[in-house]
Amino acid sequence: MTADVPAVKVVGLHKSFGSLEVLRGIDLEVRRGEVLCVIGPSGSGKSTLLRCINFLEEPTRGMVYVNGEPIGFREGPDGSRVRDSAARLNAMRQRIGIVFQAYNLWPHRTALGNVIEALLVVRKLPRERAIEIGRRQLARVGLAEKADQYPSRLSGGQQQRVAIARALAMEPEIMLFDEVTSALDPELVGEVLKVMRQLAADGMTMVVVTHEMGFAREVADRVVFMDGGVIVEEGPPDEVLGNPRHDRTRRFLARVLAKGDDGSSVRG
Amino acid sequence: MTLDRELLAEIWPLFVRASVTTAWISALSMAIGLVLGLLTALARLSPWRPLRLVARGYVELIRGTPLLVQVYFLYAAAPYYHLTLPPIVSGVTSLSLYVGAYASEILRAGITAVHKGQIEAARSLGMSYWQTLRRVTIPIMAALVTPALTNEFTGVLKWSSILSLITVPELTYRAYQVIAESYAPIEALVLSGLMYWALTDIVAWGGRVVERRVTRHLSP
Amino acid sequence: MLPGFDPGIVVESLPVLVRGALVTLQVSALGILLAGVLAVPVAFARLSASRAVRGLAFLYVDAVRGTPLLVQLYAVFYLPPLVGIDLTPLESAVLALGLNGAAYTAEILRGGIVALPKGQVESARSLGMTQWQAVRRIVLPQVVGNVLPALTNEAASLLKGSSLISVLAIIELTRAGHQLVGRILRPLEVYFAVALLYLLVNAAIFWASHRLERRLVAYR
Repeated sequence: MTADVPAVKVVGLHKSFGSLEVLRGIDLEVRRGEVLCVIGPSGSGKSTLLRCINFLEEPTRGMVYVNGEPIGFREGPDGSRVRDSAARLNAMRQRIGIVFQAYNLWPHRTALGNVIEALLVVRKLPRERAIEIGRRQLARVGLAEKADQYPSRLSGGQQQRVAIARALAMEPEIMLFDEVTSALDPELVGEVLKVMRQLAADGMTMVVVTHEMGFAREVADRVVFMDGGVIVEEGPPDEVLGNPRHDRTRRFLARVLAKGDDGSSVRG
Repeated sequence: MTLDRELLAEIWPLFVRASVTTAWISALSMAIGLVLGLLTALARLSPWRPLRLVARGYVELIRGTPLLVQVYFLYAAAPYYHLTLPPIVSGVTSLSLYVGAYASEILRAGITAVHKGQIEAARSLGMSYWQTLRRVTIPIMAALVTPALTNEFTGVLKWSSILSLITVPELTYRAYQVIAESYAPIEALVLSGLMYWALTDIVAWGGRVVERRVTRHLSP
Repeated sequence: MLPGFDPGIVVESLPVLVRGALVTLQVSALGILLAGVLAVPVAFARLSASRAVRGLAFLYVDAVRGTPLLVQLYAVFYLPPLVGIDLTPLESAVLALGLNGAAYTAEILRGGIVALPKGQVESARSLGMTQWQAVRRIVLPQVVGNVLPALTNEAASLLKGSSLISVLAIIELTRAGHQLVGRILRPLEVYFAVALLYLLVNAAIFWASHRLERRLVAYR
């Protein structure tokens, strides 16, 4: 694997749900170590794009490559798409962590139990080794002392940090964040962003779908603005957020800033 | 395994008559059971402790033992008390007592779900206990308990098959007769099975119709 | 006490009845086990993406729930020999109870699975778990905890349903009681003892379920 192979490469991606076309031809590359923020109005297809990257959604057309390898499909000898084996898909997914808006912690497992579950059943690590990794990851998100608590005892921000630790425990090469602060009370957003900022500083490749413009401006290497299932504009955050070229981008930013549902400059 | 058409033609009318028996036995037991269930539910909510205990004992005894044991008991024990009941009377009595216990639990849950303030409002306007029950509590309750009671009714249709074991000539009794006399288990079981299936589906459908009516006020 | 009730006869009849109760216990336990094992694939088949699989599973569930257990018992007892499968009465009994319980249990599980947030499975899959690993480690533990009260009722209902296997000439608790009454002509005492034993096993099931529930849903 050479350094110039992109961590994620999306080629001609289309996704329809029934007659509704959510993604209409996305081409995108994410370099290794890059933090890419995806912004745009709801319904623009941001989350679907993210979910296609680790094949939680199956693209209708087009391909996604992770570290140069196609995910979910193989290329047949004639260049056509063939569904890949479940085993290979699961192996690829281990290299891509995803954190969801709704945390999706498993309520019947403690914080530590959530983090070590996949280590035990997917990685098949011995229990002591999994616990060791689990505790380290919980410490990394500042929750070492909450290891034995069940999710129902944790705040939203703490639950989301556990979810991040759970994804990190698999030592992914890429982390996907799907509006991870949108479900949180405003006062809890900061602690989650802090963990993500640290992760970016550690050199993690990240694709972040977010409404937190302050975070995007500060942490992103590149910002992508999506609307209506296509990428309208992309570039360095200062350009896209500070001096957008497209009307649609300008209108979106004006609306977001006016509504104040940005607010990250205060929290960030 | 093929069906004997001649035999089917022969037993068909018998089975239709038997399923009519099954239907009315079930409907009657359900009706008696509902009244019994309502009284038991009210007794269990009574402020008078002995009444509560008796009601509770009845419910626990019925729910904790098989219907077959109850049916056998009433049928076998009655003659010792100089009370000779025809099988069908004995059977319907057992079935009604059985339904009463289960229905009382459903109705009790329904009654307790009716808001206390709604009852107080009725009483404050001068309605009597029974008026309140009939005009306020039961209508509100009906919406809550209809699905469970429908389920109970389909249950009665199936449980009534047990009365075949004390020679009540209902559907399962006829099926067993054909098995024993003609040794034609496929025809007997397929035919009776389909008839039960039809009966339970009719009741389930009827329940949905009633449910739509009694929940009209809940739909936007 | 009741007129003509002799507690001594209750005590005397216990040894015979306890032997019957052990058979009841054994057959019910095996039936419940079989029902649980079969219910999981049926529940998932009901949720399958394939129309044919969904349809088939629905047909099975609806047929079982639409017909009496007694008819199903006859079917499992009389039909397999026609295609050359010979089952002992005990095997027929366990099979019938298992097939019956599986249909009801599958519906309970399906309800629990549908109620579970979709993200639970998604997060498991995103970490590389297989579908089966996600089901076994994430879905089922939660669903079983959530629907345990309904499952317990189902187990209790199978225990009572097992009284019907007496028609296959298996001497379980109900038949043991029935025979004893025929011999000593004391229905009141014998059925009192039979009821007592059923209530005992029933109570044991609910007690075990409570203990299990405390462990399964400790996370709440």
